[in-house]
Amino acid sequence: MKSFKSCSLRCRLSLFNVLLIFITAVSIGMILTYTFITREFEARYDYNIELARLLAKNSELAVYTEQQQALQKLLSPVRHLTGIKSITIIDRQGRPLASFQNSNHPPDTVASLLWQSWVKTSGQDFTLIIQDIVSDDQQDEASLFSTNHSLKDQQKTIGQLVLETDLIYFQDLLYQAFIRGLLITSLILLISLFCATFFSIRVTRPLNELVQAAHSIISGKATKITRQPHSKELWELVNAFNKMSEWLENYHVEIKEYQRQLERQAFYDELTGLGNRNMLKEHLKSAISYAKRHQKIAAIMFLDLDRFKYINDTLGHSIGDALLQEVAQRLRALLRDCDNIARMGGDEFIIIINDLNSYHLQAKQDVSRIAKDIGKKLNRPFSIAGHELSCSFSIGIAFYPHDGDDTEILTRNADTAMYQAKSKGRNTYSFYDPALQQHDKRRLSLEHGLKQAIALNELFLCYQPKVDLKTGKLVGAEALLRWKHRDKIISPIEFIPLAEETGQMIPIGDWVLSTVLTTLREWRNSAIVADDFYLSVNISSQQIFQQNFADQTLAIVNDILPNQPGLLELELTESCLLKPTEHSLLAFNQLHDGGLRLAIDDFGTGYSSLSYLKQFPLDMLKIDQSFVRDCLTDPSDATIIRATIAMARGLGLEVIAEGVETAHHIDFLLQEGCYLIQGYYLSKPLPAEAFVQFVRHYSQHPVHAVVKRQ
Amino acid sequence: MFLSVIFFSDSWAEPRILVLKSHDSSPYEQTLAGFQNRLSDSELDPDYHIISFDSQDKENFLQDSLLSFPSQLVFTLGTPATQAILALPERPPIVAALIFSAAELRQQENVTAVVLAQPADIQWHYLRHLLPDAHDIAIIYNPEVSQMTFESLQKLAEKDNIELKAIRVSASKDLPAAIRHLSFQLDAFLVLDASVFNSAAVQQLLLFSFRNRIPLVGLSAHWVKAGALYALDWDYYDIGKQAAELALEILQRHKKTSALPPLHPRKVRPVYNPKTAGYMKLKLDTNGDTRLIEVMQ
Repeated sequence: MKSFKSCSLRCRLSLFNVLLIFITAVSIGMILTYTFITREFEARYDYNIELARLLAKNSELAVYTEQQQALQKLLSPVRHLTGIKSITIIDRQGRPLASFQNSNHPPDTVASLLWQSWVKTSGQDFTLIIQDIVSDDQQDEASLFSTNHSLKDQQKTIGQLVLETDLIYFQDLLYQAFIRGLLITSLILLISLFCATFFSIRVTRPLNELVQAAHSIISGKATKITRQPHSKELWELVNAFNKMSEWLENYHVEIKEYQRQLERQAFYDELTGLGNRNMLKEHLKSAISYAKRHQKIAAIMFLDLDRFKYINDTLGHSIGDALLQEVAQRLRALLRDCDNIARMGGDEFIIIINDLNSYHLQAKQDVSRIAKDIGKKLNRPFSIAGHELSCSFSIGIAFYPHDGDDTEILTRNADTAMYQAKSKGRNTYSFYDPALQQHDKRRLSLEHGLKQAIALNELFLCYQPKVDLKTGKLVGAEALLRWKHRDKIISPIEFIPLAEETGQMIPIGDWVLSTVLTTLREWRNSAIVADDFYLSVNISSQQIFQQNFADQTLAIVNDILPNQPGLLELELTESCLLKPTEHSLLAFNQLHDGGLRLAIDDFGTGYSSLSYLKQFPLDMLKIDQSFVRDCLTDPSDATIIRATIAMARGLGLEVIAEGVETAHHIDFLLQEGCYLIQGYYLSKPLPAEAFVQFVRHYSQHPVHAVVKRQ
Repeated sequence: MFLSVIFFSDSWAEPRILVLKSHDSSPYEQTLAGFQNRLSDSELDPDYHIISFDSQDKENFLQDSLLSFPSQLVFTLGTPATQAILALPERPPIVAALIFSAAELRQQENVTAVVLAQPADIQWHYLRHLLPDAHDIAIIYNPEVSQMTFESLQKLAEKDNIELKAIRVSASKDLPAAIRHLSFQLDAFLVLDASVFNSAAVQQLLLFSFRNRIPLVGLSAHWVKAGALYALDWDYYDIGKQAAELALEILQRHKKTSALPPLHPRKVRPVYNPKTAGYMKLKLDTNGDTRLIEVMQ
């Protein structure tokens, strides 16, 4: 069975044909043999009957006249006839008059059985034929008259002729028929096999061509079959195959094109057209192997745009993308053909500088020069969609083989160097120093710790009071997030961006809200603060643009302090408002309608568009501490403060100054009409317990003297 | 006894005649017609009961017929019918016709007949007239049937200084020898009866005649058609009339059958085969008193 399944179509077709032909030929052979035997038997039967009749007729006179010799003579030529076993002529009384008996060879068993079967089925048994010998009697007068009727009546049986057929004849006939049937069957088989093979070849040849053509297609060579088969079905098959081949050819071209696109996508950055991370790996490997072969040094420069995220968030992604394209263009124009540049993702680029001097110091100098050139080139403002954007870049540099001998290590070390550059104040470059690797380890440790900070209760809030100078009353406080990790206070400047990068800002923000409101409820319940005392929290842009932020915030508020409007203030940066959308407008209105106050933090440090001030339901502007700090010495800062106060007044908003550290600051602010203050003059940010103590002893605070003096 | 009472009763106004026919062929019909017409002419109007005779149980059949139709006379046509009625122990007077010779009726009572056998003088007359040059003549006959005829012929021949060669055939087995003994120098040979012949034997005789150009005088027109030169055939209607005259003798004059010897046919119908004659280069006198009738083969 297995071998049959593995047979080709032609082989199977041929086998099927052979089987069919064999059955047909054997059937025809059997039918012909049977017909032949039947006809031969019938002929033999007629022959024997006629022979007996003829002999009876001829023996009439001899029987009538009892001439035994004549009868014997009559029979003598007959005895040589085939198929006659014996003939006996007897008279009316049954006495034998003449006879002969041929040699008696009994037929074989098969022939005897077949003969008996034949006699049973056909009903023709001519083994023994008895023929009456009749004579027209002339003894009556009727024979003298010439009428047939009278003559017939005169016929009398005067004897009998007994003819016995030799069964050897049947046996011979059977063998003859068998041989003939065999010959006919063989002939039919031969002719049919020839025809079947011929037609099988005619059918399978186009199929083989189809198979070959299919193999050609598989090997990428589209082939059409030009030979037209004879049968309609095969013609349609070939036609369909040719159409399929044509379609596959087109499809192959499309696939190639897709492959090219995929390769491009796999190795190139779609936005900038530069190589991507994969391409960088390949280029870096090549650079390393080249440097290895030629005893050269290769440098890898990790370049990151400072504050790109800010631009992206404030001006939109399209502006950010255009900026990246411009940067890529400038970098490409700056570098040599033998150098490679790739975009790692986001605002990160990597530049491979090949073929550097084999002296490390010299190589460092050369790369420094290139870094400076890059800095100069990229520091020039970018003009994108009507915006004049000035960017700075931080570049980290690592060398092969000094800072690593494989792509991963070199890239990581360049990245580390880039962070070092950023920590040095941005817009500079830095070479990799093994000590810098500690920074990476710390960053990883902080990232891991931040994920568990809430669960481990490492986060806590400090509260910095806000005072109304008109009344000297403690009106509120700003809650500031702090993280105590492994007994060390981690700066918010370090962990807040990390939380934003790692997506931890949302759960942390929710925790801050819950904690602030719970604390306020306790303070109110304990009568530590007045009923109109409010707390403010800083909200990051990630939180604002979070789906359902307003619903979630209001749900928390209503859960902890229901029906108490004005007790919670959300401090937003200008970047949260610079890109007003239908969603953000709706969210702010919903929050404001829910009784929450909205304040703009660090007002004046962001971009110059102030149209958002009239679009959003704001309650307060917070003058950035950088303006307050130098307002007494820097007229520009004083001017900004005055303008801000005037604008707030004009818009009907409250205004508060943060970063108030001295009584002179208070004097200036009072003079300019700003009565709400926050800063170290009042208190540094205090943990909740310390803040309670501050509130309890607030009546003794020096600010009251300033209020009285006023 | 019962039958005899019935048969001889005179209580009927018209006689009743039982007719037994061996066959329904033309000779038998013609004979019956002659018989019936002759009786009608004699103002006798008998009741006929005609039975076509066949091979069924003859004895019972005839007895039943005679019981159902008591007859004064039985008229038989042909040998089978005659032999059948003769086999009955009790029977009315019988007039037979179309039987070959009277030999069969010997030892039988109450029977008379008109036989087919021609009288010797008639036969000799025609032989001499038609074959006047024939001197070496063989006569084939069964002594049991035609011994008397042969003897009569021999006497007639002796008168003409001709010696007849007698070939006696008493049984069928004698036929081959008889034919073998026929001389090729014969001028003619004549068959007096066919009592031991069958058609194959007749064919052998005809073949001998044909091969050796020796004229064969046959027994009937049928023989002549088959190749015999001539034969003395019969007028069947007249035979019927002859038989009717015998019946009248019995019925009207109440003669005993023993007083009525069998008769030969009174009319001869000589027939010849011109082709045979031509083949044998014989010129027959067809217009003399013999008035031969041509029979085509």
